[in-house]
Amino acid sequence: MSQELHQSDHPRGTDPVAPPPLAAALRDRFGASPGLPPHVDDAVMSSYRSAMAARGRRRALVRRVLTGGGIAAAVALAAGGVLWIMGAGVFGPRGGKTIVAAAVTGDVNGDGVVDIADALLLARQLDARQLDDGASAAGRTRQLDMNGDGSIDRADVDAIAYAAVDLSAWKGAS
Amino acid sequence: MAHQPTDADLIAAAARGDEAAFAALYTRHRDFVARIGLRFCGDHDEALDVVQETFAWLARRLAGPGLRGIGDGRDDTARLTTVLYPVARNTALTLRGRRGRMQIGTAPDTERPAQPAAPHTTNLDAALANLSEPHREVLVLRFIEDMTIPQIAAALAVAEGTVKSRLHHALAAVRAAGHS
Repeated sequence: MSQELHQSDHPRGTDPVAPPPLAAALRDRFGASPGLPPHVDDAVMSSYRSAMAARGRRRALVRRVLTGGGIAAAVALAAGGVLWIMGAGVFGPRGGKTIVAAAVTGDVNGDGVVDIADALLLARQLDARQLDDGASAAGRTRQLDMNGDGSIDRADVDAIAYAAVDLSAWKGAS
Repeated sequence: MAHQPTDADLIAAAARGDEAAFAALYTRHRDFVARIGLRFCGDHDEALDVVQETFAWLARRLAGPGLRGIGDGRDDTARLTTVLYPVARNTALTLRGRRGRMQIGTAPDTERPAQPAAPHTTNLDAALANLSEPHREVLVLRFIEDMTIPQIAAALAVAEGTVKSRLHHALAAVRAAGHS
């Protein structure tokens, strides 16, 4: 028997081969496999289907979060921009004050330049209906009626905004 | 002759949601996992639990992060057994520990054939029983599960040299038993 144990355990490459008596003993002792009843097969396949379904739900959730998140990010960015610009009006030299006559047409906050802060300040004051305070109707119209239609409204806000942004630079870059 | 898909092929397909591929993986490896469960738990019902838990783990991995190194195109020769073995073993040991059984490394008497041991295996049985668990483990993986030394090393998370050393010592112990 000892000869049998020695005869087959020489390495085959790097992996030794079991001597037949050892292989038989190992199979007898450790090679038993429990029969697998059908309910185990069903449970395993069910776990796969559940895992894949859960993955589908996760992916759908991620898509919703990303989509919703994109919208939320855009809204937050826009709101942040508005707040920043409004902050310029609030905390600027004339922040919180009602529009008064401006030396420069479109210079709502009177800082000598027409910029996006003027557009936002005008928008804010249009919303708050504060245009009657501090300036005569005629003077106010002359100073803030950017598009010359005889009234001060959202179109003037847009006109100030467009004036504040040098679109030619963007056009040149494109 | 029809092309036999590798484990890597099946894993990649199963990860894409191919249920038939997962079924093929399960069919291919369920007995291997069941033997591990029975070997470490020593209980038929617990071995079935090990099979379910192990393949449920595999399903979750395929639906989630995947299996590193298998089915991702990096190693088409890798076998799933190297991944399943530690999962099945740890699951079995957890179940065994939870239920307080202490039958490590021995198949249950009810599962073994009720036949008298042949005389020529008596000393071998004694030698196997006296082997340490790590030494017995490499013998089983090499000679029962037909795993290569690199695969055993991967399954046990040890160096190939360690596997070779354990095999050498285990075989030496068996030879010594053969001489006695």
